[in-house]
Formats: sequence, structure tokens, C-alpha cells
Amino acid sequence: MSLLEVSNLFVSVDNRDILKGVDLEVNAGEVHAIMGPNGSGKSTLANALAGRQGYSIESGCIRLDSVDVTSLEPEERSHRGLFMAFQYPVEIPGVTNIEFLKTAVESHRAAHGCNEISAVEFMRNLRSLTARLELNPDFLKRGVNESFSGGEKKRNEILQMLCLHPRIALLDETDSGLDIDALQVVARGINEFRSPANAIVLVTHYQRLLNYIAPDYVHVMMDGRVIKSGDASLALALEERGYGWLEES
Amino acid sequence: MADDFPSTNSNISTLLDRSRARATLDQLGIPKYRSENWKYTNPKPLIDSLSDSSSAPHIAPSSLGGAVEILPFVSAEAKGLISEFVGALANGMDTSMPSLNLLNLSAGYVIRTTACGNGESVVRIEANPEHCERVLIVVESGSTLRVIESTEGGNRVIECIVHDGGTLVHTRLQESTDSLDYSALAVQLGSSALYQLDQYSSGTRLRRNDISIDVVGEGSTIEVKGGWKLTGKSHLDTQISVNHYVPRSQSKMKFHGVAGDDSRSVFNGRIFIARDAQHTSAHLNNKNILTGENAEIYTKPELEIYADDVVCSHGATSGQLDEEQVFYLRTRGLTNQKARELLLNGFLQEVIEGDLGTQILGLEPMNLV
Repeated sequence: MSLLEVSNLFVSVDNRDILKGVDLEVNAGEVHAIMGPNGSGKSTLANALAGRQGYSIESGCIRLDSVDVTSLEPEERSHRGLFMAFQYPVEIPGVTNIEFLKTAVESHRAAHGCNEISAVEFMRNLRSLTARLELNPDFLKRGVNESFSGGEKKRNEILQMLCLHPRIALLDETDSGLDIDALQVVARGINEFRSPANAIVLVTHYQRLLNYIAPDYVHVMMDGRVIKSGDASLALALEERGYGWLEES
Repeated sequence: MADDFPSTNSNISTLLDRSRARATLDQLGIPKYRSENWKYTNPKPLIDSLSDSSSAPHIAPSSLGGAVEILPFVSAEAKGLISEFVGALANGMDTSMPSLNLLNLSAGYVIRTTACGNGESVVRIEANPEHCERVLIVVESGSTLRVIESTEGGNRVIECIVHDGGTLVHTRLQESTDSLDYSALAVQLGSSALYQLDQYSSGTRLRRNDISIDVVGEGSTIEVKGGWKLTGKSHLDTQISVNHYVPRSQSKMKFHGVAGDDSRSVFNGRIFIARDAQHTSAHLNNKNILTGENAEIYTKPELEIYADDVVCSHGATSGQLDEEQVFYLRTRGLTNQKARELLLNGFLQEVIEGDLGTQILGLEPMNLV
């Protein structure tokens, strides 16, 4: 049974047609990479899946665990196990990272009828995760993403993902703005998350992230459609030859 | 003009030298709606409430520890301080409301530190609804005083003298939700002195805060933070002026306000830097978030600078919650309402920290780290 199923999805933004019939099926345990040139619709797909306002779904369907979530609110999709790591994580001064994470975890627990987590247990888990992501514990006291470096912001996205245990993680250009060391830390976090029970969709421009996270499938988007799918070798071919040859074919 | 205005015949108001108050009233007149200082706030309900004599018992300020004395105005010990200071600072403000306070006084106290270098003294000034009261705070050289103040309606003028090297940390909580509340605060700082104000105001029927801080000694520091969250038909008007008269002092003012429902938020912040006040650093910022469809925000930051070697900034913004932030939180599982609450809380949390933050916003999570 597929965890995520996108069927013939048409999406417009500001009355402009961006996605023009996207099909995608992601099963548990799989890692999919979505590549494509600028403006091909990769980020639009991620945002439409997450339920961003202003991304109008004109037709088509999004299913999570066989449940149609096309008209659900962003938080309902989140509760059903969808997570999107932002390309540009938002800064929220005044709200500390720890307060934010605790509120997010509690929102998920409440949605699933669970009791509040004890502060001690929450902190124990959080300390372990921040250590694995090589984040200074002081990082938790700071405002969400406030004055974070590019690497810290992306690691914070991974920290949130590890706290929320999603079924499917959409990582929108998580590798952008990272130096090699930070890329390795982020990739390690993603690989630790990877399991037979969940799935990952990586939206990326570059092959380099895929050196650290081996994809099972690679899809190429162009002009709002998936025009080619293949295995990891497709990413290598793109790295070598660019996108032009696909356009021509 | 002053004699036409109601004034009580209580012992306390006749004890005071009212000539300064009368002179100010003659000069400025009784506050009028739509005049420069009262452009968006009608002072009439505040003035009318002055003649309502209160039957409620007055609660005197209390010491929570340290070397500090609290003297009623009627006491012999207070006499010298009263004649020297009471009315001297607040009458210099560009509104005659403090003068009306002096002419209608129902209670007054002097709070004075009595020793320096012996740690912090702490005083609580209780809310005294319906009273017209005045407090003179004298922080002697080198001493430190923390004042925790509550207001819930009424008319209160506080004058503070912080002598050289003194520190006054002032936490002010204005929590009433259905009151008429006038507060004036006039502070004068000597050399190397520190004045810190943390203020939170809830929405109420009508609340006006006039604040004036004069720096007359070099090397002094002012840190002011204020936050408010208005709901219903509440009305809050905050007027603050920081006046640097001497070189090498610094001030930072930061105010965050939320205006919801049908509320009205008025803010006027002014930095004045005299010709001689070289090497002054002064910054003022007021940010507002509008959450009510019918709410109104009026904000005006002002700079008046006569010195040429200073670092100053001022700014004000009014807007709505950032929908990008709301979406970010919702993708993490927070409902639309919870996301907005958290963001507004965070916005206020930027200016309401410490004890006040714990009390108002319940900032406990930080303690978990």
C-alpha cells in the first residue's frame, strides 16, 4: 500500500498553472528524489502537498495512507504523518525553539488522543536529538530560526522531523546553503530517520545530496509534469548531461 | 482656572504647595480632546473621575525587603522631600494631568532607599482603584531599588529621582479590564544611573500612560520595554518622552502592541537630544499587530536632535500576523488558532521577560533547558 499517492495533480498559483498533471506514488521504506530545472514545479508540488494557502488544486488527488487529504488543512495533514522541511525556514522571534517543539509535539499527541508528554521525557529525547545533530543545547533557548546560520536552520528542520516522527517527509531543497560538513550532518539525520515504516521525498537541484542519501527512485520534473523516472543512475546522468537532453527527447 | 476645577479638601492636598500645579494648569489649560497631546484620546472621563472621592481603603506601598523607608506624605519626615521634589518633575511634562492629580490628591507616599551598596531593596506599590495618589521615589546614590507596581484604575503620578550611581528597576503591571486609569511617570537620572522599566498593559475601558524620563547626569542608561494586548472596546494611549540633556548617556525603548476586536491603541514616543548631549545613543521602536477587523492603531515615533555626534534610531510598524509564520507552524501540527496564539505570545514575549513574563505569559518552558 502506498504511503503517498499523487494522482493527476493540477495546481495553480495566482491564476498561473504551475502543476499540469503530476503523478507520484511513494511506498513505505522508499526514498524518492525529485529533480528538475528552476521553475519546473518541484517546490510547488511540495507546498501543494503540505496544504499551503494560495496553491489552488484545480483537479487531481493527494492520498496519504489511502485517505484523500486533498482538502484537509495543513495541520490535519501533519497529524496524518506528512512533514515538509522548508527550503527557507521561517524566523519566529520571541517563540523559543523549545517552546515551539514542545507545542508541536503536544499538538500531535493531542490529535492522536495521547496524554501530554512529561517535561523530563521530552527533554531527554530532545537532548539526545540535538547531540546527534551536533547542535549546541543553547540553540533550544533561542527564537525559532532567529539569526540561525543557513546550516542551523536546515538542521533545525531535521530536528523537527525527528521529533514529530512523520510517515512521509518532504524535504524541499534541504541541501541548499549547506557546507560539506553541515550536509553530512543533515544527511546522517535523514538516514537515521529512514526506516521500512516511513518514506522520504527529496526535492533537490543537485546530485551531491544523493551521494549521502541513496534514492530508490529519481523523478525529473519539467514544466509542471514528471517527464522521466528512473533509479539513482538517472541523477548521475543529469549531473553529467544537464536537463537539455530530456527536453529534446 | 484652577479654582474652577474640583479639588478635595483633604488634609493631604492642603499640605502641599499647590502653586506649581496651579501655574502649570494656567499655562497648559485643562487637557482637551483633539489637542496635540490628546489627539486620539478623550481625557474627559479621566478628568471627571478625579472628583469621585473614593470610599475604598487606600493600600500603602509595602517593603518586601532591603534598606528602604516608606513615608506617608502627612508625616513630618516626608515634609522636606515633598517640598523639594513633589510636582517638580511631573509638572515639567507637557500635559496638565499631573497638576490635576496634585490638586485632587487622596493619598501620597515617599519611598526612599536608606543605604547604598547593601544589595537590592524591593517595594510593592499596590493597585488603588478610584484613588488619586502620588508617589515620590528617591533612590539615593549607589543604591538599588526594585519597584513592583500594579494599577487597576485610578489616577497615579509617580516621580522618581535616581541619584548618581543609583539603580531603579521598575516592573509595572496594568491588568484591569474595565477601569479608567491614568498614570504619569516622571523620572530624573543622575550620573551613571540606571532606570529600567518593564511594563505590561491589558486592555481596559480607558488607560493613559504619560512617561517622561530626563537624563541630567552623564553616563546613565535607560532601558524601557512595554507590551500590551487589547481586546473588546478597550483603549490604551501611551506617551513617552526620553530627554537627554547631558553627554554620554544611552536609552533603548522597545514597545510591542496587539490590537484586537474594536480596540484602539495609541503610541507616541519621542527622543529629545539637547545640543550639549554629545555621544548619546538612543533607540526607539514600536511594533504593532492588528488582529481585530475594527481595531485601530495610531503610532508616531519622534526624534528631536540638536547635537551632531549621536547615534539614534526610531521606527514604528503596524501590520498583521505573518501568514508565512502561521503556515510554518500549521505544517508542524498546530491548529490555525494555536499557531496565531503562539505567534502573538512570542511577539509580546520579545518585550515581556523575567518576572513579568512568567506572570503574564507563563514563560516556564525556558526553565526546562
